[in-house]
Amino acid sequence: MFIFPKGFYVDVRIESVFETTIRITQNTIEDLKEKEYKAAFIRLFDGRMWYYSSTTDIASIQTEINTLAAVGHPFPNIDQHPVVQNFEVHNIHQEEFAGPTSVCSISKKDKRTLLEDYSDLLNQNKHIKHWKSYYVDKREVKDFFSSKGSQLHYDYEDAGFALYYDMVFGDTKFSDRFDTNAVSFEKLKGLTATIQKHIAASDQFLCESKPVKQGSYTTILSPLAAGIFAHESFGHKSESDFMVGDETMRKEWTIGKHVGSPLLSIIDTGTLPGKGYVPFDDEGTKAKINYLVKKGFLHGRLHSVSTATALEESPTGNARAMNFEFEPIVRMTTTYIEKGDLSFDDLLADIHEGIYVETVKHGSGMSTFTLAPARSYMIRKGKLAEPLQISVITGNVFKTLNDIEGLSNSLEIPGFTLGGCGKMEQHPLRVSFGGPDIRIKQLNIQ
Amino acid sequence: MIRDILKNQVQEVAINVQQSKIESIRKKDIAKTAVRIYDQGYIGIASGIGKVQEEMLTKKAQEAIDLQISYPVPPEKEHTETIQSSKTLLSEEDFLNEMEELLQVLRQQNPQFTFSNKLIKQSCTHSLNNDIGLSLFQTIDHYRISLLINHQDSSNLFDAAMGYQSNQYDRTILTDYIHDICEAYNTPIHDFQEGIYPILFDSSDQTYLGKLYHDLHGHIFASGSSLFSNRLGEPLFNPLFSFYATRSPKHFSSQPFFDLEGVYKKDFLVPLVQKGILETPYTDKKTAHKYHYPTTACAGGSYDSVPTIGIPQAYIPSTGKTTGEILQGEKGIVIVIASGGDFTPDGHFATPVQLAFLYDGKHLVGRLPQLSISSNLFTMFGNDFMGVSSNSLFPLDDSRQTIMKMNVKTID
Repeated sequence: MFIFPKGFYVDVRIESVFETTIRITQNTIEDLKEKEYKAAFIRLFDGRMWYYSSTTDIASIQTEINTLAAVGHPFPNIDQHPVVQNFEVHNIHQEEFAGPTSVCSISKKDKRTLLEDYSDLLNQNKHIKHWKSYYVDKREVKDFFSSKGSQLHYDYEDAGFALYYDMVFGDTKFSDRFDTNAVSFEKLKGLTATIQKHIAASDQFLCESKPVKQGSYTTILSPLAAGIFAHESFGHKSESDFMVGDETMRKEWTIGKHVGSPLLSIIDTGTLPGKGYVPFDDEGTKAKINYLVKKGFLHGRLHSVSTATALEESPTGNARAMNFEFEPIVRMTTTYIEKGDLSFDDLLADIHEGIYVETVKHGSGMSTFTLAPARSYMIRKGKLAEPLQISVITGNVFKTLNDIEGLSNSLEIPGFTLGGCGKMEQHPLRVSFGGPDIRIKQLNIQ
Repeated sequence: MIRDILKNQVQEVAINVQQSKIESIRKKDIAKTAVRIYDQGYIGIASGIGKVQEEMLTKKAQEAIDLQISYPVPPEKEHTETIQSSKTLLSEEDFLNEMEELLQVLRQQNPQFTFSNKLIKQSCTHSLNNDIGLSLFQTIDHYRISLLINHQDSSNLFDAAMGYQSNQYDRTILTDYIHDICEAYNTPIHDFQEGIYPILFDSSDQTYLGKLYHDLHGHIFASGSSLFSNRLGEPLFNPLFSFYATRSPKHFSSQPFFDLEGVYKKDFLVPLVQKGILETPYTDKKTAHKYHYPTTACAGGSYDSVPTIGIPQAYIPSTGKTTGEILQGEKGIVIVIASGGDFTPDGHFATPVQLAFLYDGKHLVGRLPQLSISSNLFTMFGNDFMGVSSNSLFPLDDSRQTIMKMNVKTID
């Protein structure tokens, strides 16, 4: 299809995108649009440096390849270059999501009605004074060609909606959201009871929550909070582009090192349906199941082809770009903590005074990680008690990983419609995260 | 029927830096066009990227009127304004050579540190024209320097960071400043005492402004769910504190001087809080019309979405004194990395601080241990607000230091 110049490795990623956005504010449809576009990202490697070009003119791809080649310096045996040797070669033509259930085939009217019906649930709570709701879907077909002979054609799609609401009870204010995502439009139906329960929990929080007494507490993180914790505190540290050329980091992150409780295993994989489904990454590597931590020991890390080559490991299918404007860099896909064997009640049972974090606004993770809870609850004598206002939870990452003392037996990987993972300039990237409920011996609560 | 055409174009050269060396070069030239049709109180939009046929988009936008998306305010008209970039950037070749030189100096001056992330030269063109006399055009040329700094003995993803966006570039000023950061990083302070300290935030830092943005949103304000609802005209904060929405080219905004509805204001500034008194929430035209607030040129959204209220870029004017004069001999804490904090619904603020330097009013004294800082919205911008500096710690950047007292604790 393309003429690849000699002395270079070249790959071309063409993205064909269909997406829908609907926005309602206080019962008024403010936006409803569908759009389609096609664009490409071209990479050329001359054995020393990478040269990239992003274009919206598909007809100019060959010209772009030639232009990049003119800037680079041909490498006589580029096929023998260790980076080039590590690129996988696949010939795949698959469309898993095309057909009558694809988001492309669902009418705008059906999508609008779905969002209007769920949004109307917000009108039924007297404390909700302002709300906004969003429906978003996306179908993406990727075509990938490389000078090593890869030819991939595959698709991905998802749909979801988010309800944002601001509540008032006397002088007390509270903002919350319900956000969900699925691999098909059909799976978004039948959620009325779930949303009503969510709004009721927000309402109770608004009316009854009290500021937390600052201190250290035994804390149970919900699957959502556990997933954010895994993503922020450990997932980013497993992205190996931070380790390339850094001897201190490599020593610190030696495979086999003890990093956490023996109960702890963390996995990243692009194989699971959902926001983190990446059957092939953006340099053509097939998705794999990658244990980052296995039973408390460092077991693996996330790679692009370049980082895998530099660290003498194997590519893991984690080279991802946010869209056609960017080059792939090492990113997570679906990151989760493996479930344990305790019930939620078992986790609660012997906590005299502790904290349960149910929903989280955001989190971050360096050597210290943070979670900003939306809804949290006191645990008293083994039972959930009054709702608590907490601005931030912090802990040392490695101490916390070692302080995990129990995992529930239910794994949840919730999906989100809006937002995503941010790294450098590329934000938001679609990812998933989750886990079981996890009990941590001690966390700082403010 | 009225038609307007919105066009954005971005041309960019981005250098990726890995281990203090250039790893890759990316070129981008992306054009985006949206056609908007206004007819009988409705809006229809169609868009495309790259080369587009405007007449085809016009036809699609007309068809989109059938979706009956309400747009109850008239589009802007009869304004012509053009703002060209005030400074020519380096050519692409010179930029690449200069960045090579920059990295070489950084390597020589700071052998214990490595640098990574992006060095970008970007030219943007924004235009909005319609058939009732609106003609707005702006070019914005700037550099975006964003470097993560790692100490050779560290196992952190990064230890410090330095970034700025401006049309100014001076290698010596930049490398001297980065060297100061590295020197301060290499000077750990072991005897720090917990207590109440002046905290210096970069004035554009979102960490401490989040609650103001949320609660000044026009819809939230009007609904009664803001902490500021029904308090227009009241002195809520310290008289030294003012808070503007800016689209001024002087503030190196990456946004054009006009909002997504084509609205712009005198000097491209709108006071939301003036000398501590709440003036107005921020609005787009629809919200302003609905609740009888002033328009504040804060309509945002993607280029092809129906405009809605967008978060403005903040401008907090200087209170006229330098950082040293505001501190009056007290030592302050410069916040470099504070990630993960938030406000509670009632305005309590807390955030961990991953990297902070002790500051004596003139120099970065040294690196503090990891901290936790806390306050309350009405205290930090009220009695504990000390001022906004007239000088910047980094001369190539227009931002200033917002200084307020907060409780400071160390994190074990």
